[in-house]
Amino acid sequence: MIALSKASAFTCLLLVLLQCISIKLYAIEEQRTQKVRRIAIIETMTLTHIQNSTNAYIEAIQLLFPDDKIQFQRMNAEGNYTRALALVDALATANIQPDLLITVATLATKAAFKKQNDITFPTVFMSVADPISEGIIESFGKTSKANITGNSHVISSDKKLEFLTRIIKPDSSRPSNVAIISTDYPSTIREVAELIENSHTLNALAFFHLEFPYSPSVLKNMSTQTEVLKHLTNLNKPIIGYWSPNGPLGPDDTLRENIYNKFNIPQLYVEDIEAIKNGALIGIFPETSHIGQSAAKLSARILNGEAANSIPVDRLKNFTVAVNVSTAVEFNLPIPSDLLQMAQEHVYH
Amino acid sequence: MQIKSKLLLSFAPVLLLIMGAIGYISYKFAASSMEKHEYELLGILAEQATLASIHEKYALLARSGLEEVDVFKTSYQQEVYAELQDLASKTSKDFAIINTSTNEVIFETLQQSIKSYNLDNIEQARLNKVKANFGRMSSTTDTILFACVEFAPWHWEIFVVEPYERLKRPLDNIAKATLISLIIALLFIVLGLSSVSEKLIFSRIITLRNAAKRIAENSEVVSLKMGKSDEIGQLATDMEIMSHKIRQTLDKADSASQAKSDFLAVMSHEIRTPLNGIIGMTNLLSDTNVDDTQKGYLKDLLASSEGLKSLVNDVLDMARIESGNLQFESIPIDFTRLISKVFSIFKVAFSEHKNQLIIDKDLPVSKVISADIVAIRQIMINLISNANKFTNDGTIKLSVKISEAGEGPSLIIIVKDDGIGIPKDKLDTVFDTFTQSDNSITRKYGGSGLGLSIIERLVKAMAGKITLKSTLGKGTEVKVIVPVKVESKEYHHNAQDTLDSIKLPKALHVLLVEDNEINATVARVNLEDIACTVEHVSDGSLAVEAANKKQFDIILMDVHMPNMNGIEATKIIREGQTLNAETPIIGLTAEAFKEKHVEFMTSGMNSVLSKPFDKQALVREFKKVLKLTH
Repeated sequence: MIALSKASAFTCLLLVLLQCISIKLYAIEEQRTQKVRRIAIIETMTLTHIQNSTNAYIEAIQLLFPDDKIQFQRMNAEGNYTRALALVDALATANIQPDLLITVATLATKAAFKKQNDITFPTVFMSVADPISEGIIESFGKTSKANITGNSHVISSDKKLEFLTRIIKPDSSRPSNVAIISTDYPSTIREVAELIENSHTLNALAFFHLEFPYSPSVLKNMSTQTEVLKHLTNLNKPIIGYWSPNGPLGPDDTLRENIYNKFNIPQLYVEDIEAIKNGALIGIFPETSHIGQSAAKLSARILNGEAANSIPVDRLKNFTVAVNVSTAVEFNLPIPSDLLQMAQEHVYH
Repeated sequence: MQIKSKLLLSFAPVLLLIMGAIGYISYKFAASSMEKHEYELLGILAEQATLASIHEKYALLARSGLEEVDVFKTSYQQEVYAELQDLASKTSKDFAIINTSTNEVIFETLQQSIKSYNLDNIEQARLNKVKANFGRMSSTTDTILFACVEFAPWHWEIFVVEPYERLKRPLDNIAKATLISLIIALLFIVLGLSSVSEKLIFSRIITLRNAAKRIAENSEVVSLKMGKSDEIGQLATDMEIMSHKIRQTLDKADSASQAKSDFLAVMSHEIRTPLNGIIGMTNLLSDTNVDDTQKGYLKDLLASSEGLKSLVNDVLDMARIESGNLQFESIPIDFTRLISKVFSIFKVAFSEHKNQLIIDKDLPVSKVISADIVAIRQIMINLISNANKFTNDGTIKLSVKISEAGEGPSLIIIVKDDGIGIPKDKLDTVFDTFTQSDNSITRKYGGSGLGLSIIERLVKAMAGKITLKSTLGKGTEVKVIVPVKVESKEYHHNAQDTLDSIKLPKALHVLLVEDNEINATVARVNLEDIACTVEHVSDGSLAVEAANKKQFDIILMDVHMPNMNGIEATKIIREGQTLNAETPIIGLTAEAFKEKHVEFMTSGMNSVLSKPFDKQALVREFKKVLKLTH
């Protein structure tokens, strides 16, 4: 009986030992087959929507490659083009080069495109308003000649104008005056030009463009604030509000408050959800999660073997409408029901 | 009007009424269905296109906390107005919104304000999610159908409206198209019915009518070949059978008629032959030395014989007329001479009845009147004979004149007497054969009753007319009108009349061929009286033999004889190389029918003389065949 008990205990012990060996061998094999992917990310500056876009990207790419070990190298150009170039150079000369470079916003993308001859890894850009002006592609729907692809996050200016016109309901015989306040930030220039050109066709809005030089410190530069107010005063025109193109000045809450306090006019359009929450009337833009997810899908195709220059550059298809109804009520600018319907998750008071 | 036209005129209005009624009921049904469908449509528009959109906008405002914010509320209400305006232009419906708290119309696409309409009827019905009112409203100018839903949060009553005229327009177009279709369909039905009835009924009826006409006119046997599948086909078969039966009956009747004619021909021969002997012998006996008493007997005998001869002639005339073998010959007539001869016939009879004959002849002297003299003479004789028979101690007037009125010239003969007259109830039957107004008349006045019947048939055969007027106890007037030819040249006595006035220029050598001894004796005596030398043989073969031996001036050839008849003998004499191949041959016969005479003539005879005959008839016939005019 005792002998039988000893034999049973020995057999159980042996089985447990064999199980442990199998698990260990599986873990070793797992570790041996897990692929390491290196992704370098250069952000143009420290802005909420840029950082949110990057975060969304990281989250999405990890979901797309759950079995791989992804090593991210996240860098920030701090709004400085020269720094962006230096970051790209550093990647190009590093001992271990990344499998893929992600550029977030225009300056970083412009730098990566500039250094295309020096780098051997492909580039995916996101949050770039105008890749055509930057010379990346000739038109939307086309591929780049360089080893780069991506998506523009900006919708066409005629659509934006149509939305705003439906809210303002301007008198066609007397176009409503709207100021455009922007910097000469690269992605902003072409958008402003398109806006002004389309406004002539629309003949409902008269734009007055107030442009200021871009510098990395523009957001904190009080002289810029003063210059804006001064130029608005000098316009000497009854304006109903101002338009903020895609760029660094749009999300500036201080500027919005100063203008409102001095001229009692609203920020009519801005592509920043926080700005709308804080008082801008309306904005139509992709959500940062969409921007990040879109770039992650392109990255997955490249990491799976497709060439970056074989993937066409296009605009994002999903956009978010955000409105501030308090601003609308205050300035007697009711949002049409279809726009309010579209903005249902982003209606702010 | 033909049956087909009557049928079409009867059925077309009925068809029109039925189809019109069907069309009207269909129209009413379609109008009702369309109205119902329109209410459904208005309800759908009110609930799904209008109220749903308002609800959605309101819900959006509510979700955004803006339902009480006037800027948004007003803006979204204006969006509703714009949508309704757009919907009105796309659906051809009208919309109106009334604020129930102020009872004001705040929006409408109607040309005439919805407030100007009075409610005709309204009923409530539940749509999918809401209650709706449906009904009809009228103004002084038009009527509208509506559906109405309420939106309480904004105190709105939303009307979706369809002008009734707009709804009715397609119906009116359908009604017009239906009417046109109805007329076209009616036309096709009428044409179809006409065509089918023409083929199935009327053309066959016309065929039957034509067949009936052929049967009636010509007693034809018809073959219609219409089958027996329907009533008309069976009628056609019956008609074919009927035509066969009629033909058979007619054939039998013709056979009977022919038998009668044959019988009469035989009887004529058999009666007239002995009668010829009786009259001839009586005449011969009268020329002998007999006393007055015997003369009286002979006279009575002769009168009886003449009466019998007259009766036989009447019967034969009637038979000849009924057989339809009458042929009329139009020759110039000397009425003076004719009337004189007729008068001479009745001279004795008039004196016996103590009657006086007045002749009123009014005929143009310069004109020649041509007609069938035998028929005219017979008409005159029969009329005068009748008048004399029923008149005693009275006057008989004979009028003869010409009338140029009417289609052509007509001869009018009127014989009027003041005799016993005819009862009114007997006037209709006086023209019937063997009929006299009273059977006792036959016994009292004698006669066969054939006289007027013969005249009536003769006149009809000549395309003339006969009328009779009579008053019982006062007398009778018979008027005969027959067509004649009137020519504007002077009349000359014709050869016929001339023949009677001359004598034979020389003594003729005559071969008399007659099997009956008495007739032979009579003929011989008469021939010898007119200075002829006579050689008599008793049959045809002997005649041929005599003709081969001797030349004769004339051969008198009886037709019916034993051994060889007269026709055969005549043929042999004509065909042979005898001495008398060219000698005139006059047939002697008791046959009264002229068609028989024609048959004799074709055998080679030059003329035919009916027995009994007298010397005058002999002389006339001799002169005719010898072409003697002096």
